Amino acid sequence: MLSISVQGLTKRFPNHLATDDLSLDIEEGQFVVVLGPSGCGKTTLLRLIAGFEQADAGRIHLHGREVTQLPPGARDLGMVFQSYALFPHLSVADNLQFGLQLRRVSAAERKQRLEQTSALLGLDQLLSRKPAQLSGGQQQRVALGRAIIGGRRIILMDEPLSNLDAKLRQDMRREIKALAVKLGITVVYATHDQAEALSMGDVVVVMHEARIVQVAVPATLYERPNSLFVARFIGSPPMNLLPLEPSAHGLRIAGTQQPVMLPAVQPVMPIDSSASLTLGIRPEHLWANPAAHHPQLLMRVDSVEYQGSDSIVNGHLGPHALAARLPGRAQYAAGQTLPLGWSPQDLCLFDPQSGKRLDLAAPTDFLHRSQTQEDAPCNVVIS
Amino acid sequence: MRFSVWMRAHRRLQWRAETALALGVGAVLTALVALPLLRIGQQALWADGSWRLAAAWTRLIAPDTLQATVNSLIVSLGGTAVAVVFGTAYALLVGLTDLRGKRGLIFLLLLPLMIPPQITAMSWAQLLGPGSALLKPLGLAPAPGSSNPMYGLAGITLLLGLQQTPLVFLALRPGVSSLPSDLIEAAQSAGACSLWRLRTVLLPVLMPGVLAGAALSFVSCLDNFGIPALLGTPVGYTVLSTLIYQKLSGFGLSVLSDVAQLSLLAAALALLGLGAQGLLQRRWQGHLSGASSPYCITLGRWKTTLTAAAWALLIAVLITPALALLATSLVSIYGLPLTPKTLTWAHYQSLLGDDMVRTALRNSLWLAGWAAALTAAIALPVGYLVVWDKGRVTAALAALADLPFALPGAVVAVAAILMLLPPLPVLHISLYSSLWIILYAYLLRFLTLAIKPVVAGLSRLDPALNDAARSCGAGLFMRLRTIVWPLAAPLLLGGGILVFLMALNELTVSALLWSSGSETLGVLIYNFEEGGSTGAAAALSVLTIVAVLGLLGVLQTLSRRLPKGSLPWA
Repeated sequence: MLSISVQGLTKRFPNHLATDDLSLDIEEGQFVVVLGPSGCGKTTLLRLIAGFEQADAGRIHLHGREVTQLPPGARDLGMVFQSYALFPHLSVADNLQFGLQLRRVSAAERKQRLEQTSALLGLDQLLSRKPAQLSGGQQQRVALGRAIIGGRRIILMDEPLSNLDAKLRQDMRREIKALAVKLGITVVYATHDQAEALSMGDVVVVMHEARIVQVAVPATLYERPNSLFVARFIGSPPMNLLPLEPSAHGLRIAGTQQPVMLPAVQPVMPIDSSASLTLGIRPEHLWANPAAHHPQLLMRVDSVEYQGSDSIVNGHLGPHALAARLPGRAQYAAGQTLPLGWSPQDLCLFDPQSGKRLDLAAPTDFLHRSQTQEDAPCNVVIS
Repeated sequence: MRFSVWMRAHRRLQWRAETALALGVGAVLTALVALPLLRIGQQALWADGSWRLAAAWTRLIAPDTLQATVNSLIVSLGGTAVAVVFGTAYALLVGLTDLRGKRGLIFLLLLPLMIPPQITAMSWAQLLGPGSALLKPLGLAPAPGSSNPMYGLAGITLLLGLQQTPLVFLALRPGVSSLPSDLIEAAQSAGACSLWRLRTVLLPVLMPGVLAGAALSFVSCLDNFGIPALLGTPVGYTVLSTLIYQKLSGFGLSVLSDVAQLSLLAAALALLGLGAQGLLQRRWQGHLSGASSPYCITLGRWKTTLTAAAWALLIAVLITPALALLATSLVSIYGLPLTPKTLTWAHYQSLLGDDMVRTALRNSLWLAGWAAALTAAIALPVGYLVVWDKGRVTAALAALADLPFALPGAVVAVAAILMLLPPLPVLHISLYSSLWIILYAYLLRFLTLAIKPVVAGLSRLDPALNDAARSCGAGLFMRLRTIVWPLAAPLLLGGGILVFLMALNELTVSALLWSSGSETLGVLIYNFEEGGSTGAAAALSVLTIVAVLGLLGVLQTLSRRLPKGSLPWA
């Protein structure tokens, strides 16, 4: 059963469009991460679902019930705020019970739920404290507890970890995910942190300028981004993007003499040989000193960032910046020319005008995956 | 299905709750603030379906109006100059140096804000007058029969200045204490000599505060009634506020239009002052980063001297007059020196037996209590609507509530008369010459004092608190009760006590609105003094000061539990 169904949701603020005709279906029990840069409309999407904002157009169904016009309290969902929004004048116990008291839940049941939730989140020792006496991580737990204590099946989380330090954030990621799985709840989780999105999400919804640009499982999102925006946004360092131009001997990297042989697979969309293309390849899909027969890119090395398990070698190819993730401690001098090998199946090709991906090679697993619901409709269909 | 129908009804009810609250608050603010301001303009400029600009012009250029206007401007500008000099000097000393006993100094500096101006005027007149109970034993009092040196232009200007010094001091404090030391050090390392340093670094930091403080004190000087009434009237020195009082008390309601025109003139002068400040302020805009630690000048060997001088000056201008007041209240007949033989409690005892004193005390407490309670009751929903509901209409009306506090008190009083003189609709009774008209004027005048701290305090809270409560299913009134009220209660209390203090000290408005049976403490002191019962007036003043200090003590204790900035000091 669909847990959340959003159709054509549009919200216009006085001087900008916050969400533009968004449609999204979320299955019961899914952990959905809404990912995007700040100002992309992800928080507005959550606030529309929660009922804090009224949509200008579109409909929202929760568990099959239309809630578009209902006030937040009647939508039967929980919300965790970026700032936690704990009531500063109430104790932890009263914060947790706030909603239960409003719904006139019997004292016995309240007590039982309070015990259950506080045990689940490790808050049993803190129940009589005020929020100001808690650490950031503890406040976060209380906010979580307040959202789940009522037994709600849908929990919305708006950048819940952004106020924690890096170490704690990693721990809480695992904890929140485990909690969601354990309770079987549907979670919609907004963040601008791609590491959170990739590690926590069953499905990731990428938003950009008020629109949904891709809905996919994390692996697809990373390996087969459907647009230049997603390719640039996901991955650190991001995907290398090299514009191609036609030449007498086929395609070459724009502004250089370096030819690029595209795999001999029939492209989905007939590629006009005079049209410009952008080639994308992940830094980890490049390797140093390939065999002579392999396709190569010649990089002029600028700098090497040692990262422990591997090294990021930054350089350029003609006028274009290029990065390669090479294993171990790579030692190259600035100015050195480094041949990098690549495999055709790792390539992504984009139309620089529309920004969309033009699928070339279609790995078998990709063929399979693109038939599932999870891939975005704007992906090019493979014939 | 039935469930969803119920939900829809529930939703409509909720929306209606928010809208209903905004409508209700809007109606109250309109009746309380917007209508009186419009009404006074109408009375002054419009009659029987046509503009009465000619009549207004005649009033404007009448000799008594012109004289009062000129006098008002002179004493207000003079008073502002005095306030700026004193306020700036003390703000720099307290803010930039390692002077001793700063907390005590600040308390003394802010005291004039809390002491009714008519009491200040009276105490100075009694200190320096020929009848001074304090100077007589020392042989320093002016010769009997000579005129009081405090009467007239100089005395009024000096006291207005002292009265407004706290305003300049308060306006300057944030700027001075945020003066980043690295800025001065940068100027020093760039080779700036000390005068140059003052000009380039201090001036931009200080000017906005000086201008804001000067504008406020100019407006307050124009507004002041107690000082010119007690020090100007005896020698025929009339300013606008006393002119309005004389007209209204001499000719009654027949001169209502004249009085409205004079009020409009006073309001125009006040707005002119605020406008000039706005224009000048633009020159000094620009922000300083306050990242580094505040600058502190080590006084070294000057420290003791300066500390002593700073204290001595404040004691001379604040404590000595109060002592004179005390002496006058204890001396059997005003004019005799205070000696063991002339010492008496008779004035205090006479106050105890006086019905009028009891009535006035009851009236003042009733007025101050209700004014505090009602302004707080209005401030709570206004704060919620402005901060958490982003209600623009409410915000505009709340901003309008600033105006009656900035405008001269006489304007507010005349507006209250105009609103409440005609019989109320439905009830067909007139509230004129009852306590209600004074309460109405106090609400109009002091409402902003209660709204400001609530709006400021709520703005510092996380707006998601409201959303969190909504998503837990709390309706509007539940949220007001369980979230907004507990969080805003200390703010309301702070604002309420401030309104209470102001209302207790108030004279400008009540002097124009009182009638037999609705005297306030301020009016009574004024009437005692006017009627020659100087001893009784002094005794009542001493008791008022004691009460004010007691209230300040309560507020000080409370201030530790209030969020920063919800009180004008601390």
